[in-house]
Amino acid sequence: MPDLRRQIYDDMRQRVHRQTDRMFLWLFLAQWSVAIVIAIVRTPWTWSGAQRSIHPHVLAAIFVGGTLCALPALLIRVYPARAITRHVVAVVQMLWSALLILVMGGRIEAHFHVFGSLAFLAFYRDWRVIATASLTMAADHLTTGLAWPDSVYGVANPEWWRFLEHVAWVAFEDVILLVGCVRATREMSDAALREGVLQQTAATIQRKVEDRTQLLEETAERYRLLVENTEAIPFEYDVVARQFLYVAPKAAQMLECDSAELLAPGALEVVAHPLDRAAVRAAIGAFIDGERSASAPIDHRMITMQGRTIHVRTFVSSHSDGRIRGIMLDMTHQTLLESELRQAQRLESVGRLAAGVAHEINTPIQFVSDSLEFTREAVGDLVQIVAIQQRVLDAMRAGSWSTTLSDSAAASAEQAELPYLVAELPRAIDRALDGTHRVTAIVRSLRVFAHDRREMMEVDLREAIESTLTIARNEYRYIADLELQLEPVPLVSCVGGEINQVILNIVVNAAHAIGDVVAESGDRGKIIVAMRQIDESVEIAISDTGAGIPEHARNHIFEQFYTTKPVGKGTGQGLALSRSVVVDKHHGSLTFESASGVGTTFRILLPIAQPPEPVSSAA
Amino acid sequence: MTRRVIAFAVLWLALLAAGAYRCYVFATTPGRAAPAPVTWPVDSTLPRATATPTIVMFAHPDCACTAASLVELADLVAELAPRPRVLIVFTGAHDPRASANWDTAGRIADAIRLRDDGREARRFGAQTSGYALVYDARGIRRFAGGLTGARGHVGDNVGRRAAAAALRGTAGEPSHGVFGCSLEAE
Repeated sequence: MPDLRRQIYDDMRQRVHRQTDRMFLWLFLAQWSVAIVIAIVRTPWTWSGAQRSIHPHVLAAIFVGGTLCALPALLIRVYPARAITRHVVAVVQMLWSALLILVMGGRIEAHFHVFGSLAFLAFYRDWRVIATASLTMAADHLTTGLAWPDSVYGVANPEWWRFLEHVAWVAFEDVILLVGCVRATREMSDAALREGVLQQTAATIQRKVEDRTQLLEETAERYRLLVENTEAIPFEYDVVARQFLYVAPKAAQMLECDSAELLAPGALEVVAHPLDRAAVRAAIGAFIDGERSASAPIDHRMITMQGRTIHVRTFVSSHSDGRIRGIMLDMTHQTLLESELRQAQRLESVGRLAAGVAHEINTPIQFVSDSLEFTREAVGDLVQIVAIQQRVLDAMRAGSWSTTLSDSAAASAEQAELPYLVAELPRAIDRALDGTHRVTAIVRSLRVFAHDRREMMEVDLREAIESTLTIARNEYRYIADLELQLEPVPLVSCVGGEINQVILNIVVNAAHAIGDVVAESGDRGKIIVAMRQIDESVEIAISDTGAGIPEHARNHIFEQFYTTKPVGKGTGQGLALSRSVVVDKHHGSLTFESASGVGTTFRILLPIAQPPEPVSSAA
Repeated sequence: MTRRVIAFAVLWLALLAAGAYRCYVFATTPGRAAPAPVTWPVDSTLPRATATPTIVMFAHPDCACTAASLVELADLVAELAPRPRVLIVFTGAHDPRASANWDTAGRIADAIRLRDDGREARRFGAQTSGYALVYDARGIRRFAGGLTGARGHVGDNVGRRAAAAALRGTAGEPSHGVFGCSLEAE
């Protein structure tokens, strides 16, 4: 700190000395000009009779004055703020007093220039300069006083102490000026100390700011790397200008374009799927208006620059001044996986229900087989009777008919129980046909259930329910009775295979719930499947008389991999997938009411008409 | 660089000393003066006072140094009582009434400004502007010389003191150097 203070103090002094040097340079020029003007005005000419010549005072003002200015001007230029310069300035300023007194004809008022000069020299804040000037004045006074006393003292024969009197007056001013110089120097020193403290404080703050800035930059870089290297794509979008202000570089990779293209105005309109643009705009508008929560994802499609359709899930987290911020996630792969998972689960259900279905098919096949066996034996008997009857007919034509022969024919018909055959054979054929029809219906239900079409289409929900119940029949037939309360409803726009899967999941759960209750008692439960239209939606309600969903599980049953069933009986995916299908994909709702010991009712509510597919939100 | 500055400083000092010396010589070198008449010249037309002393100053109308002599004259007569007769004679061929010295002389109380073609100056031996002579009431010369200590330099000096003493009738220097322009071409 002392070194810094000393340096600041020296800088301040240098600055003061330079400023004062420059001030004296201008003062010298001013004095020179004034001296010339005074000389020209007061003593322009010297005369010899009628002849005139330039007055020596004019020449003295020009040349002696110019000479006086020359040396300090040179030193101020070559050695600014040096001590030698200041002292030469002091000497010259006092000599200027002598010159001005001369050109002003020794007027007593001109002597005040000496005192004014000392005051000007005090601007240097250097007492040595005052001393030099005073000594110069004293020397001039002494020598001129000796050679030309009346020019200095105003009297021809001054007293011996007159010199001391004049010097004393100068010394009096010197004392004042020296005190001023010392005080000014002290104040400058104090100011240097204050500035030193300030500079040190500023340097400390500067260092802290730099450290913090570096820390912030590092943190920002870390976060940037972190954010830009995840699958999430953060963005900031100006809704008014319809322009991305920022979008992570991964977006360019996802949309198969350059980052600059995405930052161009209207880029979102280019990459948004034509069928989803309006819905995306509406979702953003709803978020800005506060009608949509930040946690509600917007699922929509985008078109890459290569024309490929991708599925994107967007979360808008905040907005201000018409700008929204959020993240985008490429859901294409997940969407594909989900679709495949739903299909796999459906097939898994088919597989799981295969034994039941086989049993369902086995029964009609069995009596088809029995009927065909009976028919085969009956036909054999009938063929034998027809053969005997043919021999009787041939004998009668040949004229060799005998009663023995007719008795034999009657015996064979009696033996074959011909009336019974005539009566039962059509029935057996009918039973076989009925069995065949039943198998056909089961197979048809299986085909309906395993419907492989993945797009929305008009579906007859009654047929879907009946087919699904047919497939699931083996799950409940031994423990519960089924009651259908299906009202006529319009065709519903949905993905049939996926709705079938939802119904199956709930029915199987109902059967399991009832099975747990009736396993010991041997009683039978009841499953009621009802369907009705409610405004622009259709509700499918599936009730069971099971034990109900435990209280603690009610908030978790739609979570993936959550199950209350024993290992091997449930995977915890059925209801999660069902909810995804109904809510996310079909914009419907899946709710339940459950009472312990009474049973559970699941309600599937599906809109009859779907909005432009597939934009959805999981609010 | 330092040597050049020192050389310049030496040259500067020499020029300054020469200039100062020239100024000193110019200021302190008295002008010419011919012997002054001991008694008032009988052929003079200047109006001498017979009851009081008379002080006659010869002045060049345009001499700047004479302004200082006139200032000293004004101070001198202002402190005397009774007032002496003050005659200021402007010598030269042209009309002095447009000059600054004429106006300055006019501001001296009771001073009589006169014009002279050179003859009066010659009668009194005046060759330099500012030359002053003091005659007593009887016409006897008591002082002859300048009233300033140097050319154009106001302030107390031996000449002014001697003239004052002469006007008071007390003992003093009878003469003093005169500092001013030449009344006639040299």
